[in-house]
Amino acid sequence: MWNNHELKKNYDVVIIGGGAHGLATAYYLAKLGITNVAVMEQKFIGYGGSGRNTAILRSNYRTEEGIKFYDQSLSLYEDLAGELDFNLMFSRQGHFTLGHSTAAVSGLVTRAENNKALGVDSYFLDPLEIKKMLPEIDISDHPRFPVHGALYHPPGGIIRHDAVVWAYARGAERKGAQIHQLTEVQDILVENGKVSSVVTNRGTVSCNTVISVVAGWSSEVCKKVNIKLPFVTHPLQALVTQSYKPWLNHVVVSGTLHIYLSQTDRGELVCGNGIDTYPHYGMRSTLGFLESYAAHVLELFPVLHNVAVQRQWAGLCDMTPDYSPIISPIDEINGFYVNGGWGTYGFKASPASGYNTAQMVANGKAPKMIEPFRYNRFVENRLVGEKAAASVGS
Amino acid sequence: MEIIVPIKQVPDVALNIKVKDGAVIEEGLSYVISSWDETALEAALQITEDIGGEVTLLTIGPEKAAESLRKGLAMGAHKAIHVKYYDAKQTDSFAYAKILQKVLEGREYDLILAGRQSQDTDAGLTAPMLAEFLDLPQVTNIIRFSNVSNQNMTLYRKGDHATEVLEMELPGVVTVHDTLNEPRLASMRGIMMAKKKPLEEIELEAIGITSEMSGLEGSMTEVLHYDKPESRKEGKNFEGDEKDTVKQALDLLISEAKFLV
Repeated sequence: MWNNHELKKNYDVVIIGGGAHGLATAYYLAKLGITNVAVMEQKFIGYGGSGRNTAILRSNYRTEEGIKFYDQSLSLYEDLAGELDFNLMFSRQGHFTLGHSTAAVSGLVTRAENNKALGVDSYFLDPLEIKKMLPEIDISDHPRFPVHGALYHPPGGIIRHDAVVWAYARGAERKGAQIHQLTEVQDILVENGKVSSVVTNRGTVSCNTVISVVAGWSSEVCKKVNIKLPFVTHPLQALVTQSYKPWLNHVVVSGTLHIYLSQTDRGELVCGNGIDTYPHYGMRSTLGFLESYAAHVLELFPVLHNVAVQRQWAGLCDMTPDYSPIISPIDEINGFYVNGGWGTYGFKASPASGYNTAQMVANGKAPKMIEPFRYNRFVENRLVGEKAAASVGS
Repeated sequence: MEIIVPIKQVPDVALNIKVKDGAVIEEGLSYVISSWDETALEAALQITEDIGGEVTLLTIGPEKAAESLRKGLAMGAHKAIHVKYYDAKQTDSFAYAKILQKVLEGREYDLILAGRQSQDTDAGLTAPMLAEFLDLPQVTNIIRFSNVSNQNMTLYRKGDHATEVLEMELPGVVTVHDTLNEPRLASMRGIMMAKKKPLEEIELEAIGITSEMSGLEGSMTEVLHYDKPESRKEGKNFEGDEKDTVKQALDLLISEAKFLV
């Protein structure tokens, strides 16, 4: 699928991080003719969030900036399997965001209208309409948080996350980029305000451009060039059950209950939660998560009481204050770009993130699509507030 | 049948365990129930489902060991005993067996069902020593059991060239081999119910364990240091057609490895 290479002495672009975003960036750069590119991955490709997410795709965000960006991502996903000649198992099954209070319902209706105005298919459903599509859901007033309605987003769905990583890696490699696994970037050298080289455990390479695409480890990489951005890393836990016959043909999300679930083609239920409430870098699974997930999911779907939990894991999320990413050149250091702040909503953005980052690096300035995600929006008070649409609470 | 299943919370050996200056680095470790103990728990659950009774989990360890008890309760155990032991470093099988003896003296049970060894130390001594201290019969390393009643059971013990078949009167101590069964996974309902099952907490002093009886002082052996096994050296690739590569490999086996002389 891809080869090991000796490190060259010089690259035009060094991408730090071999996840879906970094590999997509390498792929789209190569499409623009920039092929002297190295992707440096300290573990193996897809080790971080790309291999640990719950593979949900959707574009029903809240702000104009968010909706347009994620809609572009979803459009790129639609054609990706053909473009990369790789079965990505994209299953467009529709996406429910449940509301459990009058306030939540009003927020969901607003989102539906925002989505429609920008051409994204989303609409509000009342509990009886939900029940028709999700017969196993409990819409009675028995649960602590009864279902009041849902935002339904037909284009949403799931995809095979590892396949996305592998397909971008193969696509980038075929077009000439090099992928270096087990290659840790230990330092980034800056001379006269310009990136000059990166020091790795396999030697030093000179380069004009460095892009940090490391999600949960963004603060650590920025530290190497003395840049402080408002990333706070929290773990996010998830679990997968044993395989069952297909019964759930939609993605279901509840912000109030802090849960989301979907069923894979293999039949497992993939289940995720809100972020751990305190920041740390430990990727440990906890009993507390398991207990809270079980309690909450059984409120929605009592039918799941006998479902057996196969495995649980955790990944790292680099949260930003407004729950939107930072994709930006860093003015203080010529040639240094940051693509991070992907929080709990990064995987679905991989194609648009890679596409726009490549455009930004190739043209030396951010395309219009990602201008709102510049790093200085926090000092200029131009936040892109997506908390209500990007997370399941914390 | 009343069954006691002693379990040990151990570092998850599926993760990379780091050693520095002769000690295991605890930061970043994840803890799980030792896998042979899960096999023992599964066996105990099957017996009680078959002939009735209750399974009591028993562990000795710090606060976080309670998580392993809850996971065992989620699998289906009925109740649990947590012997609080805050600094378990330098405690060997002898000291653990002594503590278990003190906990179990005076309690009613028919069978103690344990893993044949723990995943961290691989010693396999605690359960046999416990059987001696409690003056109970013991059969180790079983791969099957049959004719289980509240009075006795037939046990199949794995040997190198044959299987030993034994009959044991209860109460007694049995340790299990991991081929005995496939431990079940906890269900969503099991995870919820575990929160409400009884978990008894015992302090060491309350069962008469003094500082001389625990830790290094109470142990018969002492771990001096841990070493990581040396990693395998990188192999050599030979390029070319079969004729060339076989010759290159043979030449090196003779000249460098001195394997063929």
